[in-house]
Amino acid sequence: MKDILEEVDAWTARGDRVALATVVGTKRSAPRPPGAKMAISETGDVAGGVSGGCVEGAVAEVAEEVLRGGEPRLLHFGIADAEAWEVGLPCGGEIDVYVERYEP
Amino acid sequence: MSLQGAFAELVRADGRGSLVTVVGLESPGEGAGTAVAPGAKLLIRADGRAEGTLGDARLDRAATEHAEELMWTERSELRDGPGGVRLFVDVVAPPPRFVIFGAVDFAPDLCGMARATGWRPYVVDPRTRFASPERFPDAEEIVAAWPAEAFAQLGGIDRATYIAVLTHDPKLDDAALTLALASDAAYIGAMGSRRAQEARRERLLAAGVPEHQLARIAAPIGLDLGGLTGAETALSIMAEVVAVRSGHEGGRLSHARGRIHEVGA
Repeated sequence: MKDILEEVDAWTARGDRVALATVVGTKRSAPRPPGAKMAISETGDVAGGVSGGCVEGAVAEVAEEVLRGGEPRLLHFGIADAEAWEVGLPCGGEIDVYVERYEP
Repeated sequence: MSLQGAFAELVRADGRGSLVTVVGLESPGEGAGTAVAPGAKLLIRADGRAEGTLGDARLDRAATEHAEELMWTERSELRDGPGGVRLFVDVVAPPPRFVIFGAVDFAPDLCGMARATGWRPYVVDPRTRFASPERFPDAEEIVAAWPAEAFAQLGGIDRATYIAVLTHDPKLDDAALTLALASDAAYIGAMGSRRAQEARRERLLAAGVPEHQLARIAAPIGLDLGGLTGAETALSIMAEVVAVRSGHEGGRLSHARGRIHEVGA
């Protein structure tokens, strides 16, 4: 979490609302361990990551919903299916990501 | 300040604690109290102080047990609480503490390697001639005192402390080992040939250390790297403590069948 705090502090200091996405579960070779975080500000800034680039885009979309007043969400990402163009992890892992508002 | 804010404060301060969040309900309304809702949080600090609630006393008790276990194993994990409640236990812990007892020839190498690996090295040696700041620029702290006083100065030995005993001087090593064995230290390594170990074993038993405690001493210290130089010896010791911390044996990955990265279920 330390890797994102400086940016998150700056966003909250200027009055932005912030969403926090946290890796809560992993299976097989997931790129980042449980506890890894990505923060998203309402003005579109992003800090940190949950997967090394594979699912960050999809997580950011959910984070925007949460920032618009949506309920916290538990997301699951499985192995990427290249033919279906689904969002997933090419490395063959699976991750669960919890997305919620961050209140300083 | 919110519980998330308090947890962030712990992260900034290199503190220790767990923030438990309800991330899912298998069967809403059953088992746990109906006040349980996704997003509810409970913060547990290393001294046991709790803030917040998950909305149910039984759930809070179960969460506190998970929190106290995981903040010391230093892993964030999903856990199942009573009533089918899915809990995420997010853990913050300071960088691991590595006490290097004995400012011996290769101790500066070990100290530097520990720092480069992200650990906090502490150097302890009552012989002030050896335990000098010039030799240990990477040390978090250098304590030139006998083990009892030194360990007290370091705030005691907790479950997240790793200790390497390196002086080769029986009266110093034995004093440090006796104290380390009476603590919850995560790792106690000691230098010495097999013959020196046998003599040490006899001395510690005579000094009243229980036999089953002696098995906690990792000796000879280090992984079998076959290194010859001081820096290589330091690498072998650092490699062993990293392996112990992650619960691995420390063999070659090309010979291993298990997972490279330890991941949660």
